[in-house]
Amino acid sequence: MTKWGMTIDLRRCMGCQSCTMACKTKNGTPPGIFYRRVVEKEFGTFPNVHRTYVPMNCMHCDDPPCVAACPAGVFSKRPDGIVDVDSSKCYGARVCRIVCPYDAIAFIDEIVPYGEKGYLPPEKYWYEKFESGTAVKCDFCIDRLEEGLDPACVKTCPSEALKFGDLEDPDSEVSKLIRSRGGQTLNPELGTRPNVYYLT
Amino acid sequence: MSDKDVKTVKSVCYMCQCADTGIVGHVKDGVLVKVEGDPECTPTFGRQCVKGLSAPFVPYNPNRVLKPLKRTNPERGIGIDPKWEEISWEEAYDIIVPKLKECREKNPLGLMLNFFDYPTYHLATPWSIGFGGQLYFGAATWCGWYHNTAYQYHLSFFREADYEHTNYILLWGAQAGHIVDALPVHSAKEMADARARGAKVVVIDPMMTPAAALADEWVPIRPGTDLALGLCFWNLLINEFELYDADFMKSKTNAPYLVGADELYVRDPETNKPLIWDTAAGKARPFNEVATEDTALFGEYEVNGVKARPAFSLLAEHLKQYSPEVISPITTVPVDTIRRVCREFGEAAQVGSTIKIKGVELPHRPAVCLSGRGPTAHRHSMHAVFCLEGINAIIGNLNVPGGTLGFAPYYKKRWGVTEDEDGFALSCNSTYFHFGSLDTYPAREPKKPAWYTLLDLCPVATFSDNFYPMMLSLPPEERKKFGLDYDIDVFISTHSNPAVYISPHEMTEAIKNVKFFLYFATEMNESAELADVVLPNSHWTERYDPIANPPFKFEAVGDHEWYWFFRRPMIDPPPGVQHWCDTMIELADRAGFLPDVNQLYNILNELNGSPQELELDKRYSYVEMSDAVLQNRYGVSVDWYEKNETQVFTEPKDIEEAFPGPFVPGRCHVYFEYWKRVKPEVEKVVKELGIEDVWDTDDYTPLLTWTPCPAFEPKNGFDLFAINYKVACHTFSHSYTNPLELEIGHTYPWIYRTPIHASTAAKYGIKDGDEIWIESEFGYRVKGTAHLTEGIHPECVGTSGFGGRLTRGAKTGRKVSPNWNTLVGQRLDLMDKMNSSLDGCVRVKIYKA
Repeated sequence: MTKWGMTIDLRRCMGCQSCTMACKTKNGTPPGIFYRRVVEKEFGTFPNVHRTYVPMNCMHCDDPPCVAACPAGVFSKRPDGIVDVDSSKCYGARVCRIVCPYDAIAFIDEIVPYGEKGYLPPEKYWYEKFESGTAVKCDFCIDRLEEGLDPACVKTCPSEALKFGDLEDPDSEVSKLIRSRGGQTLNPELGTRPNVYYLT
Repeated sequence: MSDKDVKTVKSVCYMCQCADTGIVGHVKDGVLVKVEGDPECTPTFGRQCVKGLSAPFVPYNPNRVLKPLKRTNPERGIGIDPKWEEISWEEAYDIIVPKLKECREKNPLGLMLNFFDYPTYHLATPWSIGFGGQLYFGAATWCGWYHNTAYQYHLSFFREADYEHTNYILLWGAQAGHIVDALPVHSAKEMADARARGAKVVVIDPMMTPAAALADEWVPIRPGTDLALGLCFWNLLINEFELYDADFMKSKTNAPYLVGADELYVRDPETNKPLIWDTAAGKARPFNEVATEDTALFGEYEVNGVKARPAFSLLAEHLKQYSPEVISPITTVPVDTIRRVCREFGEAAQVGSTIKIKGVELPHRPAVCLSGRGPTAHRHSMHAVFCLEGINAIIGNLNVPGGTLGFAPYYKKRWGVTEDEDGFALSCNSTYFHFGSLDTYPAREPKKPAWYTLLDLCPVATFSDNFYPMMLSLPPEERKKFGLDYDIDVFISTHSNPAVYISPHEMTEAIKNVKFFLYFATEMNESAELADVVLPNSHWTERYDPIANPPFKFEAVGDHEWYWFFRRPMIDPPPGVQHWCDTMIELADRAGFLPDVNQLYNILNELNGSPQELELDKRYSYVEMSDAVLQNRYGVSVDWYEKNETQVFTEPKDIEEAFPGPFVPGRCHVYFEYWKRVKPEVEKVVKELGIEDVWDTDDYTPLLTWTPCPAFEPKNGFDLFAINYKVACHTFSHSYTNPLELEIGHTYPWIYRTPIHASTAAKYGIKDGDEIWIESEFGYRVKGTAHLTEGIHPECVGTSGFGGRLTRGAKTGRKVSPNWNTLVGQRLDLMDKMNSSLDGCVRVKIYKA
């Protein structure tokens, strides 16, 4: 059985946000709505300073708090590991936003245009599937997976920091990377059991 | 967004100047809804950076220019309404064509064409030269000045690291490999691969840029002192560590050339060739007659009755003054750090080692030094750039595996490299591909300037474009002193934003001196708002560019295939809008000089005598003209790309083309005798013009020398430097009107806010998030929001990219961040007289707003 997962190599990530932009333009999300983002952290004191970039998206947890908490059944765990989202069921309780420790769920208050003089032509196509007052999030680009393609973020990353594949397959690139590089999940102590692994 | 009815079109990205990636545009009902990297485009790994992905919003800019516009308000300036009147194309031609005819009749040099549009150089240049006018590439103001060295060291206009075979990457005020330099996408993967392989990255920069933040080591430096540190590196590599490539010095540079007391070569009386001391023969012999192993780099000899020393010996002695102990207080880089980084770099170069690639044994120099704009855009730019790029020459890494490689200098071995009579390598005729940028050796004959760029006064510069705005800003009587006794009657600009690329307020005043200003615009911007007539221009997503990545420009280096990109429209241009080059052909036709354009096109593109030679009296489209060059130069055609429904043509590259260093003839300079030799000629012209008071020739010295910038010493309370750095999500001014890029830019505080070191902020009583003024010594100030960080040199405040747009048209991006260019002083005394570089050292003070 396939179990989809992702590795994010923090040694390769340059923080360029190409993944963020690929996600945004593939999913056509309204202003302010992101399924993924890159969080930066500066540490050290001058001149011994560093900054790391941590790309974040839905961790597609094996024990996802959003699934358990949502009163409307918006979120569901698929057999292939993806935490799916059906925003049409959402009535705006926003409990998901509170319980997700990874801040992976966005809430569309109101769809407003990017264009300073109204909707730009692409926006008219972009927002067809969105409704104000609903929660949305990353679904690992299920539609692309069905076509045999990697998620948009993985496919575009110029430095190839993101990899995607079957965690159940010991020979998949992600499984090998997790083993060889000691892949770690975020906040393991919370028991959410994410399927996104960070390589440091 | 449903994928039903979505048409896909293969094209080439052009969100920055690079044409770096093959893309697929997704089009629904004629609307571009998505752009992504083309997975079938192998040279760019099917990937796409943040800028290109945001392309769908750009052609639909609400301030897009869709109709020809005529100014009705005679008053011009920033923020002043031009009171546009929409006119028809015929009406526009009726205004423009007589201006062209009058100018051509009166003085064709009164026409200036300004463009920064690489795919169109092959046509735009013949257009302007065919008219009899001048050229100005514009956006070069803040270019990396290394182009001045590239023709000599890399036999090309651009160079890049051979990441695949290198182990040590020194980024000197540069972010190569981090999505902001040439080949952003290609190099990002190669950089990441190199790093994963264990290559060490060290970044020398006053700002902890994204590249510096990820580097193994960030070495903060005081702005404007890179030349001092660079010379210290030369000194350490040559004198203290002896980690230079002696064989390379002897055989591929002028280091062994014997120099007399007059600092000029000692030449053979019979052949006039420069001499080398032959240790085996015990006498001086012409450079081409001495074996490498018998070549002397040190010593003093009696030759032709005069005392002579190898240039290298003079260089080594000259460099001794630049010890770490002397240089550390100048640069603020600790003595130990200087020694350690330099030694690491020198040792990583593995001088003497070889590598076998595809069965061919080659020199292997796996250490590179790449300089960027910051360290070289200075008053003494020419010395800085030859010093920093010359570090590569010292370790012998030029055009060999693991080192620095030129972009396509040896394509099909016919864009050849030849050797001149003094033994120096001449890259193939650079004007062939990048008209207006010239080889920097040999020196041209200095003359009274014909062009506003004063190129005739800069005989060893690849271009001298910054003098153009400087000259334009002068009153006519002042300008006459430089030999420019004519006005600019017609100024045509496109793919450039000349009103703002130096000091916007001063440039705006300068442009007022133009008699007639025609601007080709996709969207309303600062320059368009100063124009007399604005003509709509198709956006790159709507146009053909059959030669999308011209050679010498954007072509991955090293052991990869050759690839030539073809841009095709993903969407239709708005009704009545066409490629600016087709409009230019129309203008030439109507004004009666199209045969001259065709003639120059044949000459400059070397079509004469070929089956593709243009008929002089025939009118061709831009695509037809491009096709002639495609067929003639690459043996491919527009038809081929269309038939194969692709955007990329690839050809195999052999090892000699990939690493031409050992296979091409000729030497390069580490001792700049030709500067010294041309100096009196420059001085003669300067004296004839009577501009000695403003035009010094002090930098024409054969040995690279540290001289502080005027801003080196703090003065009158202006005790900080305002610095500027590039970020991945922005390029030039136009990206600041793209709401997608702006939204991404807000993610990080160091993009739109003003980074200040926490200790500096404390000194000024500034807290994180405070609104502050940054005021420069030149009388301008910009507002920013303080971002306290440890990641910046304490003597600096940072600004990124090109925020703070001043255009009336767009609300988007107007006040998003402080505009650094506003702070810069546009003054002749701040410019390098050798290459026109304007000093980017800007002293400022900050205070709460």
